Amino acid sequence: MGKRGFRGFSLLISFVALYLFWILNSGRIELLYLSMGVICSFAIAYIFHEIFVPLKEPKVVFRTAVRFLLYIPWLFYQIILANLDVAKRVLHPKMPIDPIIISFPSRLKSELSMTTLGNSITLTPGTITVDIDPDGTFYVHCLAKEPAEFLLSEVPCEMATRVGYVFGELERWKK
Amino acid sequence: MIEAVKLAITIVLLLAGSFFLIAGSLGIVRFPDTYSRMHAAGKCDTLGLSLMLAGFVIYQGLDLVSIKLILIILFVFFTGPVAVNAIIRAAINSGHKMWTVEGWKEWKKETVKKR
Repeated sequence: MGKRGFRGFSLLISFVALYLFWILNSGRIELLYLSMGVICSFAIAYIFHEIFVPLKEPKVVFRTAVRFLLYIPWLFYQIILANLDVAKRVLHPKMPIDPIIISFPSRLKSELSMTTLGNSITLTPGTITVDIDPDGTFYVHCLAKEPAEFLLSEVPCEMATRVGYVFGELERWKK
Repeated sequence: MIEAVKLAITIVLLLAGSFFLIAGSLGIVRFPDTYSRMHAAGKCDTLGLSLMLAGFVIYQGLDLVSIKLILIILFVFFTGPVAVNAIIRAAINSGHKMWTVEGWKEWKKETVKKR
């Protein structure tokens, strides 16, 4: 399968996803609305399919999608921990915070994986991404010492390894 | 019976959501500087809002409305951190000072050692 085949696959997947989104949002199944949906979602899929589904082998795209879906539960668990931690620090009478900005290398290569890691860091225990260098160095604002150690304990840290595994850039996280 | 269980789960989720929203709002007032305030604002709001919406989804049952609510939860999870990141970057770029235990400090990217 050549570049053309990848393009057709990408176009098809984005069209199906957009059309499903249209039907779910409109909730009507009369012919007029269905045909309007076909026109709109085909036009949008034709223009933006390269961004929505990268031009890669279908196998790689499916693998990334499945791994990303498996990554979400772990992230959700971390988010709940983050919120309990921040809520505890807010409600504690002495307010035990010790803000610091740290930097660490992530060994990630593509923009998409760095964006995912940046968003995940912002959502998890007491850390916010401040800046990312093109070589994969992250600058992170930490609310206290413990969340900083979570990111600094190893190179690359657990979260970076998991994100890298989702996008096929790093080995699977063991432990 | 099922109705009662549904209602109970809804109430628990709504209470948990409002607890996190209140904690986040308190954090905005109590924390000392922009950066640590964004910790409270960004995280507690994201989880609080999505827990409350999850409560609505369970109350509503599975139909078109609840699918739209689930989509809103998804989008909140993607856009929340981006908004926090935008505010933090604006603060860093305009040279806002950062509160630490030793006092107020200005942070510059060049002064950080690369590992």
